[in-house]
Amino acid sequence: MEFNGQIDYSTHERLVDSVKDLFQTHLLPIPLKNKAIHVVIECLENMYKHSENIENQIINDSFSVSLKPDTIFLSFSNPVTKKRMLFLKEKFENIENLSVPEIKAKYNEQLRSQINFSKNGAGLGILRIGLLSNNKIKYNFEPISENSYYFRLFITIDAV
Amino acid sequence: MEAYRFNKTKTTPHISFDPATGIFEIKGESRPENVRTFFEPILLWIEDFFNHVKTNGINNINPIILTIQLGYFNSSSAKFIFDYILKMKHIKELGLSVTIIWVHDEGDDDMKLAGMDLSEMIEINFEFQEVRGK
Repeated sequence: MEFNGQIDYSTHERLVDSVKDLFQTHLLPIPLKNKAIHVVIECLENMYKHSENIENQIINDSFSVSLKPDTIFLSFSNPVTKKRMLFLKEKFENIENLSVPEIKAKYNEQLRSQINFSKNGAGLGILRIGLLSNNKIKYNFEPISENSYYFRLFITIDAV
Repeated sequence: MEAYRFNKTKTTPHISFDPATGIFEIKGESRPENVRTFFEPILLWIEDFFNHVKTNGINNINPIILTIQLGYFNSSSAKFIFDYILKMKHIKELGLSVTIIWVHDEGDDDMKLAGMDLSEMIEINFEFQEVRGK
């Protein structure tokens, strides 16, 4: 399944429905399906909640899902400003060398804390993606211009 | 005290907190477009209920059975669910019987574990129920 275009709230809703239908059709194991849908929700929300106007650039967001019997591959791409790139880079770097129990400890710590629901949300999303994917996350930022980048995120979800 | 009710939508759960029956329920998907707008009134209602129990005592209030059956939920919702359960623990500490039932799909160990983690972090026992998933 592939999508190219602008991801906003209503597109996000349609895509979540399409992913649910896709998984239903392929009779995937429920735990695998549930994990992947949670990751899709989290990532698509990040895309539409943090979409920024990139000056003079018409570049689509994109999202794809591919399946093997016990594995789901997800990819998400969207243009981001330099400020957002630095924010995301820091968040992903913070978890990339952590084990799943260490990510879980950080997630739980964040749940316990007082959260200011600013534009950046509860700060739980990337930790949760790391947990659900057993931290099988790859990402890169390709420069578009001096102040904008194309962000690509690849996540593998296993049945185990 | 008046019950709090919210009918579920595609992205928000059914909420029913009814002190008259003691049946409290959170059921469905939880990924509202604006998390704070959806959840804060509920948190305020629970705060009011806590104050009601504190002021009036537990004698004329039914034991609470809170059933949490979440489908898909975003991480911001998880924070509010944590805060609700914490507040229910505070209500329990006033002497009111509070039972929390965490319902998850059969075989969905991640969802069960999410409940176990909340139970451990908040230090309140959950009962776990499995249902056949779609």
